[in-house]
Order: sequence, then structure tokens, then C-alpha cells
Amino acid sequence: MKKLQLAAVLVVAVAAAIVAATSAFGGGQAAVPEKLVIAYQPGMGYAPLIIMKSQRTLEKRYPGLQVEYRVLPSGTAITSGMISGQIHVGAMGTGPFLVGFARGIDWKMIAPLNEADLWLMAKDPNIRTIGDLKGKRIATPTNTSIQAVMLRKMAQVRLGDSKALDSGLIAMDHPDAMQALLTGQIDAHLTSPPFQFQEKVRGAHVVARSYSYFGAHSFLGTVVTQKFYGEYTAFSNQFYRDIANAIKLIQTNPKKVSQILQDDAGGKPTARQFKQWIGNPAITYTTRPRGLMRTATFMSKTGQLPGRQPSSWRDLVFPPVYPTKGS
Amino acid sequence: MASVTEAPAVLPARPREAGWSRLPVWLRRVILVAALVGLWQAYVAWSEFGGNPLLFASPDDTARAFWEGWRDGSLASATWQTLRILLIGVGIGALIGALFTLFASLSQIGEDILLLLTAILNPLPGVAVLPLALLWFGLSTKAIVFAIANATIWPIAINLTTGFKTVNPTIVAAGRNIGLKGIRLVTDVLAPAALPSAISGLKTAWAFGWRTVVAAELVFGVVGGEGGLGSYINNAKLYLFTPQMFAALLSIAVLGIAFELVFGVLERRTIIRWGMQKS
Repeated sequence: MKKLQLAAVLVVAVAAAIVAATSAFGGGQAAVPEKLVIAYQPGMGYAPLIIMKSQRTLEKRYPGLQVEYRVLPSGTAITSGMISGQIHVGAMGTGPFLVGFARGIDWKMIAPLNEADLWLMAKDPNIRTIGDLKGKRIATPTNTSIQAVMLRKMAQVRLGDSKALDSGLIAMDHPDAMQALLTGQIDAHLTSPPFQFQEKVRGAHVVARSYSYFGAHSFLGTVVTQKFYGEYTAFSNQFYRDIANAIKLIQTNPKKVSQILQDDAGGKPTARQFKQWIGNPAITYTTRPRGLMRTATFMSKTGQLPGRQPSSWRDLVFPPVYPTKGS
Repeated sequence: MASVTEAPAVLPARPREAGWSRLPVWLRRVILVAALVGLWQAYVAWSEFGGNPLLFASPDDTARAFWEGWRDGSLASATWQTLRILLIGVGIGALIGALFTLFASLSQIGEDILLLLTAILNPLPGVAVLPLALLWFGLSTKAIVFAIANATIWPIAINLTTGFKTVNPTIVAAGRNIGLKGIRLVTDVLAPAALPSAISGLKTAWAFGWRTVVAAELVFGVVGGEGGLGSYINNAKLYLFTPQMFAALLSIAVLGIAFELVFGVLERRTIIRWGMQKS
């Protein structure tokens, strides 16, 4: 009898150990991070994230989760934060995202945010065409921003050389550049919504639109590293769905969204302005990426993408984005 | 009991460390540099942070980027661009500083004005003046030259004034004795006697100007066409070329050593040869 009891105890002990071990492995897949830092830049393009922040979507679904939303001035600042592991989800333009990918950062887009027509604005009435811009001072956020890429495409198409306007490129963030354009310190500004709308209202005119040279293309997206996705796959997939829901809210209830954006911006611009801008066809919120490969190929050809090249748009996004049939 | 005016007893000579201090200077330096590079390589090989090529470059990657950068001219043109702006800025600053000092040494009101302006403007770091300068001069190298000039006028003026004030009064009396006064006293007696202070003022001004110009380019991007070393570093950061960032920093360090040598030669040829300063 004693031997049987011993055997039974042993079997139970081994079974318990196996269950404990396998649940430790399996638990990793379903786990949620303890602290999440989401970084984005100022602008209405990040509206889906601002909606999630104001509605506390993540805090409500994951009660133990500490979520921190941080606003940083540029895509390169967010890149640095993600390389050092301090930022888990970064929202940036496709330009810095592709450069990081090429330079070996193992990251992909978990949820694109929008596509936008980026306008080249000028105030001087004598500047009407791309050719007029030779030797003039043109502001873009940074040399690797999607705006700088679009400018080089325009230069290539109209002037035959993508680097023709490079000598006049000045890196300035959108608010400073808008100020500089309107006071005449710079000659042109390749910018994005809502700054291009504001500049148009205040006397600048549109010299060129990126869609005319590039077709419709993605503007901003949220990015996580492969390491993060592997560790928190279910969380990341759910994050995609949260962004998609926020975008649906923008499409179905723009009035509520513009109120959220006004509150987040501290009252200025007003909800009415935001509603006008959201409705402008130059910006469309969607989780379908468009023109990623086209952008990467162009950047590669003009030497702006040193390093690892993507072979298909699927290399650049995580699985939840595949069904959108992007490009 | 020793009186208080007696000279203190000479300290016993420090026993020489066995071996190390007997080696020649150049060998000691070479060994220390080699040890530093060795530590660097070890850190890159064995630490997680150091091993990430996007965060930290290894010695051989840095050396390669340094060699390539100088060979294809990108570091060379960036360095020349920075030096060009610096030379103009320090030149203007030295000229204005000297003029201010001349005015101050010839009249009491000049001295008062100089002291007041120095007290207000000297503490301003060069980069702090830059946003205002950009507003006034637009997005051009003039703005950076202005910031450098501000960073260099006051150190030079202070040093020159101190130099003038601490001239040996016997020499000044001798000058007065042979009939020199006013501006001739300044140019023929005070200025040469104040040369050590002038050189030390120039060294300080050069250091401040150098820091200002690199920081200005880093913070404000490419202003006015060709980029200097600050823009080179910024561009390397944008494209995540970490070895190039390290190589640019190495270039700046090497340049700093070169300037030390140049100033050393200047001192040896003038003030040390003339016995005004010990080597």
C-alpha cells in the first residue's frame, strides 16, 4: 500500500510540475505589459491616439496597466526612445519609420493612422512652380521626413534631379516653419494638415500637392518593435483593433471627435476648426497603408534608404494589417 | 621660534613612482590611449548597451567612419565650414573687444561702459543668444557669427583690460618718461606688455566660439547652405549612422588638440621667447 501511495504522490507531483511549466510558457503569449509608453507628435494626424487617450480605452480594458502618453517634437526623438526601449509604441511619419527599418531597427507598423496629401505652400506670389524654388529656402520637419521625400520626388519629376532643391532645405518643425513662412523668412513650406490649411487661410497658396506626384500615400502610423510584438502579441493585435475603432469614431461622429481634439489642444484650435479639417479630403484616417513600397523604392533609388530594403509591404507591417490589402 | 615672515620649509621631494615616471612622455601617452581604446572595445564586446550598433560604435567602426569621412571629403568640408564661420566670428569679436578695451583704457567713461556691458552680456551662453539672432538676421550664417561674436568679445575685453591693468608700473613710468602718452602709450607700451593676457583671452574666446558654433548647428539645423560639423552630427543622427557620429566627435577632439598645439607654438614664439611667461 505504501508503495502505491508513493507512486500516486509522485505522479500528481510530476503532473502539477508539467502544468505549472506549460502555463508559464503559455502565459507569456497572453500577457499585458506592466507599463506602456506611447509617444506621438503634435498634430491632428494623431487623432486616433488622442481619442484613445481621452476615452481611456487602454486603462479601462487593462485595469493594472500603467499607460503614459508622451508628446515628443519629432520622429527622430521617438526613434531614439524606441531604440533605447523607453518608448513601446511610437507614432511617426512613414519617412523616419522606413529609415529606421533600413538601418536595422527590428520594427514594423502595428496600425497605420492615416493617408494625407501634403502641400507645398508659398507666400510670395512669384513662386508658382517647382522650378521657381531653385535656390530658395524650403522648410520641412527633418531631412528624413516624409515631407522631404515628397519634395525630392517633386524635384525629380519637374527638374530631373531629386537633389536639385536640397541646398535650400531647412529643418524646422511645423509651427515654427508656418510662422517663418508667413513672415517671409523662408520661401516655401512642405507641410501637412492642419498647418497647410491654416497657411492657406492666412495668405499662402499651394504650389504643389504630394498626391499629384506620388498618388495617394500613407502619412502616419503607429510602430512597435518585433520584440514587443512577440512578447505581447494578443495585446498588440487588440491595439490594432482599438485604433481601427477610434478611426471609425472619426468617420461616424466627427463632432464628438473635434470636441475631444479641442479639449486636448487646450481650447485652441476650436472644435469647429477641427471639424472642418477632419472633413477636408486632403486627410483620410484609415488603417490601410498605401504606397509604403512605392515610398521605400523611391527613397532607395535616391539614396535616402541606406541598409536593409523591404521586399514587400507585408515586411513593413504586423499581421493584423494584412487583411487591409495595403501597398 | 620661527618668525611668521620666514619662508616655509621646503617640502621633501616626492619619491618617484617606480617605472612609470621614468618612461618618456610620448610612451606614457601612447600606453594610456591604447588602454582607453582597449576598455572601449571591451565595453562594446561585453555590454548589452555597448553592443547595440545603433547606440554605440566600436573603435574599429569609428576608425573606419573617420577614415572614410576624411577620405571622401564630407568631414573635411564640414570641418572647414565650421572653422570658416568660427574664424570670422572670433575675428570680429577680437577686433571689437580690442576696440572696446582701447576706449576703456583711454577714458573713465569707456571703462565704466565696458564693465557694465561685460557684466550683462558675458554670462549669456552663445546658444542662448541664437534664437534672437535668427529673428534679427534671418536664417543665415550672419546669425551664428553674431552669436560667436557675442561669446568672444567679452572674454577678450576682460583679459585685455586685466592685462593692461597689470602691466609693470615701472615700464609704464619709463614710457611716460620718454614722452609717450595717450594712444601711443597704449600701442607701444601697454599692448605688448599685455600680450600674455591677450593670448589667454584669445584661447578662451576660441573655446567659447567653438562650442557655440557646433551647438548652434546642432540645435538649429543647417542654416545658410553648407553644413558644418554640427549638421554632420545631426545628419548622422537622422540616418542612425552611429559610427559617423563618433567619428565626428573624434574629429572635434583631434582638432582641439591641433589648436592647443598651434597656440603653444604661438606662445613659444612670442611670450615665452620674450621671457614674459614661463613655458
